[in-house]
Amino acid sequence: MTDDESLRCHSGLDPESNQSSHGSRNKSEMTNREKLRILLLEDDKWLAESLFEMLRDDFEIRVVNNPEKVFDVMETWWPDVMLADVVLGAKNLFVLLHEMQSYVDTRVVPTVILSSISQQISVSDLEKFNVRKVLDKAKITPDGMRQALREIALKGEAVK
Amino acid sequence: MNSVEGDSDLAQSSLIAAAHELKSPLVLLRQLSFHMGEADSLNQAEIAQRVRLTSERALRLVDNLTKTARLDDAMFQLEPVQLRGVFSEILEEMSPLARAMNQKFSLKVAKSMPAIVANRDLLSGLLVNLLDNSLQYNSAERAIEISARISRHRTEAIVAVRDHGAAIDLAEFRRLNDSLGRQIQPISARPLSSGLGLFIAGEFARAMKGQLSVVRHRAGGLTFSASLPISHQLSLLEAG
Repeated sequence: MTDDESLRCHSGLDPESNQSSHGSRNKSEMTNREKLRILLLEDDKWLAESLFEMLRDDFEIRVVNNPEKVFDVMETWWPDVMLADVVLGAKNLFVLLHEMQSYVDTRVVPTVILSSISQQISVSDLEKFNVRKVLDKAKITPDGMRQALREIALKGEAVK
Repeated sequence: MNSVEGDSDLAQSSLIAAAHELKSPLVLLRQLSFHMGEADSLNQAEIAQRVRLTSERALRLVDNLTKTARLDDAMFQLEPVQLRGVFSEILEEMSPLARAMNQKFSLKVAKSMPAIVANRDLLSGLLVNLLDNSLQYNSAERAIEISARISRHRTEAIVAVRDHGAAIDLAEFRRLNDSLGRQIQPISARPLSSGLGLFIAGEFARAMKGQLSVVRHRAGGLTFSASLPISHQLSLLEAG
């Protein structure tokens, strides 16, 4: 039920229209959109579905359960923030973040980590991967998550 | 490292793995609680079912951990057990979770399957751990295969659970194979588990004078199997 296709919340904009914005995203483009875009990377299907429901009223969301699908989504749909779990199978988040840093366009996507091992993760160590915040799955509230995502999305481009 | 240090390290890693394994269902329960009373597309009956299934999964883990700590207390007597009856109970217990996860089980038991020497509680715990593990990683297009057959030398029953999850690489498989049932060995391609369930299954198999083993399939997926002694006593009674 909670596959990549079913968890889409379109804001009314044509996702294809954003194709040309790779690497040239700007704040006015974001503010012109009805909703900020969140790409959720979470491999626990029930948790992903719950997070999708929690955030769908405030954000345009796409969900992927596998890091390898992140680039597929970004071919046609550009997120303002990626919200991602850390432990994701053979290719964990850090492998993905490292790969994202090798491309001019994907390196600017800010990432918020949502993890149950958040105490073991330091934002300062991950700034080079454009990780902006680490949220604790066991403590974050719906309002706290919405606020964190909105703040990060509106703060703008990548950490230098 | 002496045996006392080894035991202490294992106890510590068990504790850490148990905490990790229990944190996941608790995080999910907390997350699901945010939907209670909310009018979103997750309906209340669905949320209630997920809360129940997630709680039951956590409780099974706690129950099995308790049993693991008491394996030396001689409270788990071995006796002749008919596998079909145990399979039937386990499938009834696990089917709601499987349905909720869009998964199916298939069962294949050799026609002439004799009784085995086991402890019913530990055997159930062992199978539940293997099924629970397979449910997390099996591809929903194919059923999880549960089977029981007699070994070539007709001294043991081989009880197996095969999933069709993602392939794991050979080096990781070798690490898993070397430590299976003796150490807690997480599998990086299977991140939802710390490896504690497989460790518990190995402990239960050993307590029943059996052994846990694993086969890696090139097409993807793993088969975990426990070899357990056949009950000759009951076979003679049945023959008479």
